[in-house]
Amino acid sequence: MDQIIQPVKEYILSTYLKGEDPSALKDTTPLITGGILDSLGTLELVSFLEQRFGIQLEAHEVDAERLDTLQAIGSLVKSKTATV
Amino acid sequence: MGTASLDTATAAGAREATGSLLADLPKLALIAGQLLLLGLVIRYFQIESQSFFRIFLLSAAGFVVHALLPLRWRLPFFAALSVAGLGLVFGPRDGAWLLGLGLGLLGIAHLPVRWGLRVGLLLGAAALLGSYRANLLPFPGPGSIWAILASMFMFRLAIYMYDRKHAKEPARPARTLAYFFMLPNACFPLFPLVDYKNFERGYYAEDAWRLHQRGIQWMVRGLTHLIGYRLIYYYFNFDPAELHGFRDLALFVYGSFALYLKVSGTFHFAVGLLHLFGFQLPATNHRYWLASSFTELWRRNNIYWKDAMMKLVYYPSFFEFRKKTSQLSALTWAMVLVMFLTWALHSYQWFWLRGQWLFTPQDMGFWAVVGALVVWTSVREAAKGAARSRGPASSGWDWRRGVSTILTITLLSVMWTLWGSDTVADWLALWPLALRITWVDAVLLLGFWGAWLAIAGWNWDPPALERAKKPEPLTLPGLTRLSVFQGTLLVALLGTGFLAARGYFGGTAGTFIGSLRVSRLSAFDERRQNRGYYEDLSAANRSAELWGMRGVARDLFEHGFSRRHDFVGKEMLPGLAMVLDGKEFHTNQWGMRDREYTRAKPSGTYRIALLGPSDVAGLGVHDQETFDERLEARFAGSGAGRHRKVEVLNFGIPNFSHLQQTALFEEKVAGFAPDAVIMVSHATDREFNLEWLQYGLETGIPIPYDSLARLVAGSGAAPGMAETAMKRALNELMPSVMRWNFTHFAQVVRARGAVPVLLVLRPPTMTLTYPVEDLEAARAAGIEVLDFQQVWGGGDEAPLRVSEVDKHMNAAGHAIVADSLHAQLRARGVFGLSGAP
Repeated sequence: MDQIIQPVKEYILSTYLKGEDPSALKDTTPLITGGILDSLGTLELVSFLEQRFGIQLEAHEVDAERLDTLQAIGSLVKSKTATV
Repeated sequence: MGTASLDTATAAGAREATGSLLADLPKLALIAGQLLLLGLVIRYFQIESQSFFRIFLLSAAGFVVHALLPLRWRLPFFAALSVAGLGLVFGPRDGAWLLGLGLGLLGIAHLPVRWGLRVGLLLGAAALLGSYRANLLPFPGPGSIWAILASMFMFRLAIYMYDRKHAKEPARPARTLAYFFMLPNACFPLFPLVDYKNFERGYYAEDAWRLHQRGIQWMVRGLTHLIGYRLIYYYFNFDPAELHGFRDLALFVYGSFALYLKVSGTFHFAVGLLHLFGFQLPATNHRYWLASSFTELWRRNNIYWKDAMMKLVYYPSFFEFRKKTSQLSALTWAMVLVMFLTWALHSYQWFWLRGQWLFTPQDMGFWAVVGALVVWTSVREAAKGAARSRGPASSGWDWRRGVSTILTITLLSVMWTLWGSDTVADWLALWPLALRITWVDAVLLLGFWGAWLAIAGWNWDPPALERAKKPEPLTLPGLTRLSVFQGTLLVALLGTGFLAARGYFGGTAGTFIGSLRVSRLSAFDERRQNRGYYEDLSAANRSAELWGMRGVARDLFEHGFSRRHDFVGKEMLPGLAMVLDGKEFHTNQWGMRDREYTRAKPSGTYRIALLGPSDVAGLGVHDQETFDERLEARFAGSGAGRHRKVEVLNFGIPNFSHLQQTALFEEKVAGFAPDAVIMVSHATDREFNLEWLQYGLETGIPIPYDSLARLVAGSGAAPGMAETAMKRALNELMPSVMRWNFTHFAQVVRARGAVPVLLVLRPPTMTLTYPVEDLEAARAAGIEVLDFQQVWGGGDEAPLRVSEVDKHMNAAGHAIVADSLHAQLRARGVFGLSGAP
């Protein structure tokens, strides 16, 4: 799971949280409902996940249930890569 | 966290959130205490409607019971409370209709057939309901339920079906009922578009007491918005025709957009109230006055709408577009589609709430410009890609942020005035006023912008990670501190209103603060209401307050008149048999709302002819309750001097100007040989006359009186002018027009041997007073003036009006007028009606 979460964490820190304390971004920090990712940022994250992990997301999967935390993103990517 | 919720009693954080019952009692008492204060403020400041107050009381009582219930019973209890709320607002019969139709739609949504077929059936049901809503089919149910039924289902059903399509768990009845019939929605037609997944996921997703306290905080914020709205509505809601210079224009522009406080206030209140029942929902209308770009405005303003559009339109269309084009291009087209549908669905919403589609050039212009700006700024942001700054925004003061905010909100406010204008020509006619700027105006505007810049230059949002931090459960001391803070705000609000009402502030300040405590129409809307403006849907649409009452006489205005292209303009049709807002409304063979009379006056009879607008016609009361009926009955009991009997003939026609009344007298009323002709008049009759002259000029109706035609021609008003410019020209003329009409009316009435009378009425609770100049003009013309402005006796006038929003006299008001008129007519020798027969 860490192999998934770590690069996503780095991407979010470098893209959306420049200058913030990296240790403050926890696996359970809400990214969408917490206001870190807006709709544009969410789609950018989708592109990143698709390219980085070679997966394909569906429109209905772009929501807070699946993408709100690093933990949820890890589970989503894991479930996708398992079926690829 | 998963999708489980408390109807299965498994939501994460729920158990830690609720704690033990005994330990929670002090916390419950703190929240209940704040609810009590909130209730007092709502009551004392007359916030919104009676339905709103009833729903609040039900919610407050329901909250206490809800908090004491075991976790697994809470959601079913909330669903039951929501259904009870329908009965409370609509009554058992209408509430049952609303519930039945809603359950019918939900039944279709859950039919055991494939998803696509269910959607097709729902569209069919919507088409059927739409046919009823558009009056294409006769609706057997009560019309009063449409707005709330629509606000519960017109969009939420789409979100629900979308989420059900991808849901892994079966639907749970309590959750579905709670979602669609959610309690506060029963009294708000404009309701935030709550997302089903948020509703589900957010259920007790954090500490219950923190949720409840946040709910209180948002409700208090909602109240402040609603009181702020009242301030703007009472003091900055101007008639565009009465703007005189740059300062008026600037106030009008910012004031128009500031009226949105009503929406943000109700949204905050509604969402806050849902927090009391465990629903953790996103913020709504987050500091939108500080948006520094149109994209930010889109993100901050109606957040629930934005989220729904992202889910249903933006993401699905982006995924489709990107198969055919680049990412940036797909983003652009997805955003274009979102803005187009936002406009189209706005009209769809208008149809369901108000029964007519909204396709006006003003509406299209507004959305075209604002939509284009949102798309443009979004695409610019997207084009920067990862390079766009998403790090912590500078926490210090930044003049660029402040200037951007002022430009964004000013441009939006300018566009808002277009949306609110009756015509595009009216809107265009506003802007020459910008050239009438004085040095004082410039200094005031710069001062206003300077203060705004000082505030908007700061970044008021905490850093992203701090904002996203999950809050700790609220301890009793923590809750006490927050409760004391909110409680103090509420007590301060109550105290200020109380002291103002008792005159402790004195002078203008006292009057000003006191005025905010009372729910009423603005002076502009009051005039529009009194001159029957609500007969025009498009006009009433511009005012949320007027809209509430426009349905009352709609059938009469749509089906009860014969329209004529002459100076009388219209008459009521003979033989009408209608029911208006539950009151029967009949006209006789002459088109009068009255019993049958012969044209020839029976011997020994004294005839009084009544002329006037809607209150003479008796809108809002039964046939037998109009003051003309009661007056006639009084004379039958008291006798009428040497006359065998008195007949009171009611020639009242809703939305009828003095000028039309005079013309009607000459053409029709005189033929009934009245002995006295009473023209009933109000403080707004100048506007009545102005609008009639304006309508005549616009539609080519000739003025049959040379002297009046010369007067109008001299004002500069001419066909083809923009409405606002024409109004401005005619406005100056109104004292002369009133004088002309009184003189002419007196002459023609006396020429037929009758006594001309002016009865000045002030509808209950109306604050406008009759122009003294007009009273003097009537007396100078030799008219008997009966000034009934104080006829209500100085007490509370609210019980004498039809309803909170309809200031027509009710039956009790008509009785008072009949009694007073009877006494005056008998007391004045000129009528010869004193003494027994």
